Amino acid sequence: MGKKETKETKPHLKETKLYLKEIKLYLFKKSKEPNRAKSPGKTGDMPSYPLLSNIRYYYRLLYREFPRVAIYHAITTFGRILLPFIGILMPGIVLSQVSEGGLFQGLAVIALAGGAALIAESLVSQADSKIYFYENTFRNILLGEAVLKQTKCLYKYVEYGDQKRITRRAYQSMQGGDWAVSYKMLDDPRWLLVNVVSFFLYSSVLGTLKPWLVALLLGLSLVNYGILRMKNRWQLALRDEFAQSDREIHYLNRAMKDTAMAKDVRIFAMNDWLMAFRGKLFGHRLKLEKRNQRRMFATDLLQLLLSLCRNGFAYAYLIYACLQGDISAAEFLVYFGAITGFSGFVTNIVDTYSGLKLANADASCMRFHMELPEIGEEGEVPEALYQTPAEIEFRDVSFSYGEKMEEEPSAEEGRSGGEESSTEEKRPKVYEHFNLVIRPGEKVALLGINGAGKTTLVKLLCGLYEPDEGQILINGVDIAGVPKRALYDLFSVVFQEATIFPYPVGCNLSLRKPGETDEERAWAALREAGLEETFRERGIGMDSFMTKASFKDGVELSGGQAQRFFLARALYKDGNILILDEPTSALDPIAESEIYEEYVKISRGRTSLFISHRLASTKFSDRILFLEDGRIKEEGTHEELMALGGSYAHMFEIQSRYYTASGEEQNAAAQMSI
Amino acid sequence: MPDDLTSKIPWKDNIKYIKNMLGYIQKTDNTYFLLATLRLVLDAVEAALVLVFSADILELLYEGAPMEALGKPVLLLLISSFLLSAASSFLKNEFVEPKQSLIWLTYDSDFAAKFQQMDYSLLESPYVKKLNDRIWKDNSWGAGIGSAFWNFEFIVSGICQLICSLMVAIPILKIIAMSRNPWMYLGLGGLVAVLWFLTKAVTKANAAYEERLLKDPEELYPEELYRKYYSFCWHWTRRCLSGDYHFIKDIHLYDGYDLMEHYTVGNMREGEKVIPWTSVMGKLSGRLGFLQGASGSLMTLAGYLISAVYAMLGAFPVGNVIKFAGSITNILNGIQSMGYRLNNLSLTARRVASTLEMLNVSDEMYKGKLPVEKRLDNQYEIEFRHVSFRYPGSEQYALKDFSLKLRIGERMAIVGMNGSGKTTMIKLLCRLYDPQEGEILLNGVDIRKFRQDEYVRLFSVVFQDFKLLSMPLGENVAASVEVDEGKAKEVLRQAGLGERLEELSQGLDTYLYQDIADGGIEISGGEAQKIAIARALYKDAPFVLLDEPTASLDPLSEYEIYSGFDAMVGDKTAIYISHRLSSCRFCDDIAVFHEGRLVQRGSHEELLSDEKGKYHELWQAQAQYYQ
Repeated sequence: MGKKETKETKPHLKETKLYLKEIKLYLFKKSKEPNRAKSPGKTGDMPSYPLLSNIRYYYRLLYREFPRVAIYHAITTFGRILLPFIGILMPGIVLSQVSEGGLFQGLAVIALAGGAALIAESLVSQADSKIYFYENTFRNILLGEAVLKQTKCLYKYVEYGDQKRITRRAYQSMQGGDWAVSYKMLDDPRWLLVNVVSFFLYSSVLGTLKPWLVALLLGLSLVNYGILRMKNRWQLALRDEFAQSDREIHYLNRAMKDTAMAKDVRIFAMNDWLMAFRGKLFGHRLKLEKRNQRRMFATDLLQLLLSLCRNGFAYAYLIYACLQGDISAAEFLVYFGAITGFSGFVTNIVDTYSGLKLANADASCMRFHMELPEIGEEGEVPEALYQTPAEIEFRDVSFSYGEKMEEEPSAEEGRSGGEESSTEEKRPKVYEHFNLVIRPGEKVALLGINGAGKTTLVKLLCGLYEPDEGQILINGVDIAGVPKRALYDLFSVVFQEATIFPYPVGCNLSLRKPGETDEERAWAALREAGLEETFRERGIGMDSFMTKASFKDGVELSGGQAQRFFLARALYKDGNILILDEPTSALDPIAESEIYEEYVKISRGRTSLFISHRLASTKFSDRILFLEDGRIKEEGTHEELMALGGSYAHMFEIQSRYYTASGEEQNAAAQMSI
Repeated sequence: MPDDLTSKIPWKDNIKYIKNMLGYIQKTDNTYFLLATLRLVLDAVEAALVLVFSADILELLYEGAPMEALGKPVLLLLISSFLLSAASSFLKNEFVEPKQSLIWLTYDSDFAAKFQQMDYSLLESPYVKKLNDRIWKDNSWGAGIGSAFWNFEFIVSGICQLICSLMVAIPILKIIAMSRNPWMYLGLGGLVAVLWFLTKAVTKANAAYEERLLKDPEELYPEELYRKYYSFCWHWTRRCLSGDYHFIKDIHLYDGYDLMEHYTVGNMREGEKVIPWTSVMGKLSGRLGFLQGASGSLMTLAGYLISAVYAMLGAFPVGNVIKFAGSITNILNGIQSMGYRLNNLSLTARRVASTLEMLNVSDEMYKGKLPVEKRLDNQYEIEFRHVSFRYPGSEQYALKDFSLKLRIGERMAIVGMNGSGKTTMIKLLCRLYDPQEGEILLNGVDIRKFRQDEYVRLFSVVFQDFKLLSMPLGENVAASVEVDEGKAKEVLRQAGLGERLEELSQGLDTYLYQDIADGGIEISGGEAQKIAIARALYKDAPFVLLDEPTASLDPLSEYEIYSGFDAMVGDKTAIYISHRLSSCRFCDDIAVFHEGRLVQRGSHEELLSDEKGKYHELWQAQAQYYQ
């Protein structure tokens, strides 16, 4: 469910049809564009599939999900071709029956024709209304599949700069309620078909009168086409400016809705700044709208002139033909309707086609994302991999984020929006010919200043990243050849930004589907992590949903409790290798110290890797690695490194002085490190 | 705000909501309604003229009139149609559509801006939270204020059309009224009955459709089923869109693929079988669509039939049959659809009501009028006197019977465990909240009595979760469009960004991040902190506060920032909060908070000597590793 989340939905379908013009306007301005915040220079990077192939792709997915929609599609397509045709014939039928037929026969004929229209109209309207909801659910499913794809594809795609942009655009293209690209790719092709078929149908009707009339109308259509092309070019020219304006306005709205900013706004009286910015944006927007609308007015005027000519000609010729006796007054009506209808089809064909071509760029991103390769499951897994405790070796490993990958996402403070960087400059190597052996059962602490590459090392080891050169061996097995799923199975990891899922407690611990969690083991893990009592006291069970994301009674944990919870998750998994990536940064000293104790307890008998800023944590480790610029600058036990008197000893001394020395020395230390 | 969107409400309330909604539009742009109406009148007149003139032409054709006689109506038709359409297009393009667009943008933006304009304390209040949830629901399946334009224009154009069609149809209406033919009356009566029946059916189908569409799913389904089949597709999409991909690592490493599938598309598909939504909605809206289609084409048919009968009976010339058929259809359609339109307008008004209520939320804090004395010597004294405070909607006291005096020109450090009330105290100090009990005094006067804007000027705070905007660097530092360049550069240099500033070709005009400018620079967390610090310095307030903006830094960097900051603030009063006791070691006044109270205060040595004290415990927790 969660179906109600479709925002900005147009009113009921009926109105949409009537207000087709308005909708189209918003297609260009309101809905699609905010997402298309792209500079033209980057367009080349975007994937592109042929339009027809993309249309087939969306239809195939839809019919696989809801086969019956094919029937509704057939009904509305056929009906939409038929209905205008009846509409044009109708006046002629009425007129001829009134002037020639008898009272009852005449009425019967009219009722029959009208009845056919009635049935067709009802069925079309019914099918349209139904289609809307199936396509809506289809869109939600597609979005879900897109998320799933992202969790299943090779992890590097999640952080690749280019792929990130493509994926982002794919998600965005599916936003915007009824203006999502899936609707366009499904609805517009049918509308195009209707108009193309009608175009030929009308041509043949008019052709029965005078073939040259069709030729003439085609000529007029060509002029119309020219005008429309101009209109489209104008709109396209302003498209980037509208996109930029939308981008700015949406950004401002998003920023203002961000309550995390609310304190700063009040303390620094930023409201005036925000409102001044808004005034600037709106002023610019109004100018842009006017510029666009004046062009639209110019094309409207040209089209009106064209239809003035066309209608003038139609009247003159048809009246002449009628007076000559070539056609009856009833036929006069039919032909007149056909001539005016004709230009409508041309307009629709041109508009729909150019709209589809624009949407195709978005659709291609979505499809490209959906077709990303997934992590492998097949392949042989050597027994040796699972030996405990495990031995780890980095052999001559080189790694860089490359030109396409972004730098390790550090916990960014003070980030305003949720956008990511897309820095494309070439990054230096994070690791170059890096060697390291971790003995079975060894407890290793990884230290280093921010950005020394600690987290990257963990990601390489787990197989989330792959080295450019060299090998990573676990128990002598090169992990490059191991299927990812089997490899991931080895580790119990608590990442710096671990996630509590909005799912029940049990699922959150095991990451298994509901009903597949071993509850006894789960409680045991909670007990070991020191959370059982808290949970029992608060009446939290394995089925209680966590976080308030969807249910108001969801379980929220404090920072310290969350850390313990992640610990329980790692315990439940019971992986051969334990990795803890800086888990205590936001905790107060007492909570931090307690968590350390827990870690030490559970790391017994396992190969484990600690990453921490807190030098104190290293006291528990068998060996300390001090990383700097992708190299191990110092290594050894705490005592050895202290004896060495290098960077580690220096850092430790500065920190420890406060805790060990008297006040005088503190001040000296303070001065020293400023 | 109505209780929910589907329940029946009295007409008086409906009218009130519609008035409020239209009132907002009128207030935002006072000529929109006028110009939009004018345009619709032109359209209706044009349609009527086309009907009348083409009937004349047809009539003349039937009479076999010569070519010359036909010239006049043809020309009149062509020219009047052209001119009226052109005028309408002009109004639409020059005024109506740009205005709609701006009103729509203003509406969205007013709503967003309200979050930064109301009292901070209201943001987390249960009332505003509930209102916000409600707005979110009200905006589903609706186009916001856009629906108001559409429905307004539908109704106005319906009325115009009705009037014009009535004028065109007067002759035939007269004939029908005076025909005295019982069959005719019977036929008309039958038609009216069918139409009435259809209208009822449409209204009923529409009500059923809306009821189902707009009702909370929580109410539609039994709770356990609803929970069981809840799908999180949108939750994850939103997270991915906001750049939060961290969960993917956990999925990989803990083999959570099946779990993810279960709670997204799995539940959506399974749920469709157990608690079907799509097929039910499809059925309901299909029924509505069918009836609307049927009644629409039935009106057309009725129009043709009625005028055909009269024409055949010789009541008027054959040529007029289309004109009358068209106008009768329009009248019937107009009357029938008006109810539907009005219903939609009032539904839109009810949807918009929650947002308008939010825009009208008034501040809750008492705002005094007393000016804050400007003192060059910065001799401001602040005292918390028996202050107790609970966050809105919370039972627990964040601060309890809390008293504290700030010493002027000195440095104070606040330490304590998570949740001990450190940040709360700062929020109260800056008057983001008012305490429920006790008072806070500035130079002996209750701070509530001062003008809010002047009082806030006394403080510069770097919060833990400070925010910078994706706007020019200089504006970020000045927090204003007007930037004193010299001063901005000076504080950036002080904050340690001098070198970085030199590198920037656009200097202070460089955009931060790339949210709105492709040329914006990406800054690291550390640089962001420095900019936030520069912003605090730029403000040049007599009180400066650092609320641990450095949690993710290593201890050395944090210490450097704290002590460096201390050197920058000069003779001002400064307050520091940190988890790491080492960061505050330059302060000789340390306040220890525990469970919302001030438990200890003094110098490091004094506090440490009390071995049963909280400070000793905190200190020991960190110090044990260094001994």
